[in-house]
This record gives sequence, C-alpha cells and structure tokens, in this order.
Amino acid sequence: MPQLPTIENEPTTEDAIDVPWNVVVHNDPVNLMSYVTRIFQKVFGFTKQKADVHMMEVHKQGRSIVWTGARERAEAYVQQLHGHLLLATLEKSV
Amino acid sequence: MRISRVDEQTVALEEIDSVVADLLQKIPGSADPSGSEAASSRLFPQPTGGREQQAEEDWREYVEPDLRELFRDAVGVVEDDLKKLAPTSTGLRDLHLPVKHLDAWIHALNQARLVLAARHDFTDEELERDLSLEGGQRSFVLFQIHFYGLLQEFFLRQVD
Repeated sequence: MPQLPTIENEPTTEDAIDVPWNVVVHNDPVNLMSYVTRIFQKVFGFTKQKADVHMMEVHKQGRSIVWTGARERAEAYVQQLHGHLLLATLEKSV
Repeated sequence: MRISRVDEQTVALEEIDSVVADLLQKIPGSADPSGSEAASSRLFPQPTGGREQQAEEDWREYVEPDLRELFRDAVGVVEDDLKKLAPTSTGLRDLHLPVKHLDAWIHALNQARLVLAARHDFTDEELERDLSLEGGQRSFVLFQIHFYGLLQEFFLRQVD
C-alpha cells in the first residue's frame, strides 16, 4: 500500500520565505466541515481551533492558504491533501 | 438501522433493512469514477490548477498511481467488511466493524459522495437543499449522498 509522504522537521513559514509557495485548499460542497477540520489537524498538526479557522475560511471565502514554504514540501502537502480527497493546489505566494 | 459503539475496538451497525443494506453494498461501486471525466477529475485534481503543464504531467505520472492505489486499498477494506453483512433471525442484518477500519470507511464514503456528486453534476444548491424523495433517480442519488454523509459523520466522531 503506498504511503502518503511523511513530512518531518517541518520548517516554519519564516524559514522558507526565500522560496515561497502557498498550499491552497479550495471549497467543495461535498466534503463535510468536520472532515476538513480533521484532515487539517492530521496533515498539518493544527490545533482543533486553528483547523476550524482554516476550514471556515475555505467554506466562506472559497479558499484558504494553509501553508507557505518551499515548493517540494508544498507538493508533498498537496499530495497528502489529495490523498484525503481535498481540493488543493500549490501556487506562488508572490 | 441502529449505529453504536460496542467497545473500544468495535462499532456496530444493527437492524439493517434491505434498503440500507443495498445502500451500503453500493459504496464500492459508487466510489468508482470509471466512465466519468468529471468524477475522475474530482478525485485527481490538478496540483497547480493547470498553470504548469510539466508539473501536471509529472504529477499524473508519478503521484496519481500512488493515489489510485491508496484509494483502491480504502475501498477494498470496505468491500471486505461488507462481505460480513450477516442476516439475523428477524430478516434484518448486522455489521460489526473494527474501529481500525473506520479511516478506510470514512475515505470510501467520502470518495463515493464526491464521485456521485460529480457524475450526476449536482449543483451546490441541490446539495444544500432539504432532502426530498420526489424526482426519481436523481433524488435517490442525492439521498445516497446524504446517507453516506451521516454515516461518515458518525464514524468521524468515533475516531476523534
């Protein structure tokens, strides 16, 4: 069974500002709000409160930037999010 | 149907009638995007939103196969569990699920809901509207999506 990429020693957004890529999650009318919150907690290690904030941003504004940093790591996060069936893309933050 | 947590390791779906049994049996087939470009695109979205052609091609070549296998494995767990839908003396059926299988069930239910919504091109309005059983096949599919959502919600609470 393939494993989703494991992301270790996560750098902070500030560590990676010279190669800024955003991981963006887009709204989807089918995914349950509770499910989206759970996946944010699982993939990014967010607290429930922070995951809820991003989930509500996705729900109300149509998208939320959930992580910013190096491209390779952003791709790994997008892969994880796709593995959990969320609509996610990466895009340059500038 | 009654759903309950039996113990630390087990969740029970009990007194399942033929309609609900049929809905459960439909999960694996419903999760299959074959024959629908919209459903396939939803399960395997473009990582750069189509902005970078080469990145999209690399993604299809190197990432999608892993995702496909991941999705197949989750649906496979559900398929195997469904073989244990046991008839009872009342004519109804019971299904006991290991809690460690619930992540696979949550995934498969989600996948089925996404594929059904994409395949039948449901609008946001339709998905959010109060459920009505009028209107034939399309209403039945909408009911199926909502039923899977309820089941998914229950399972999510069990794994929190």
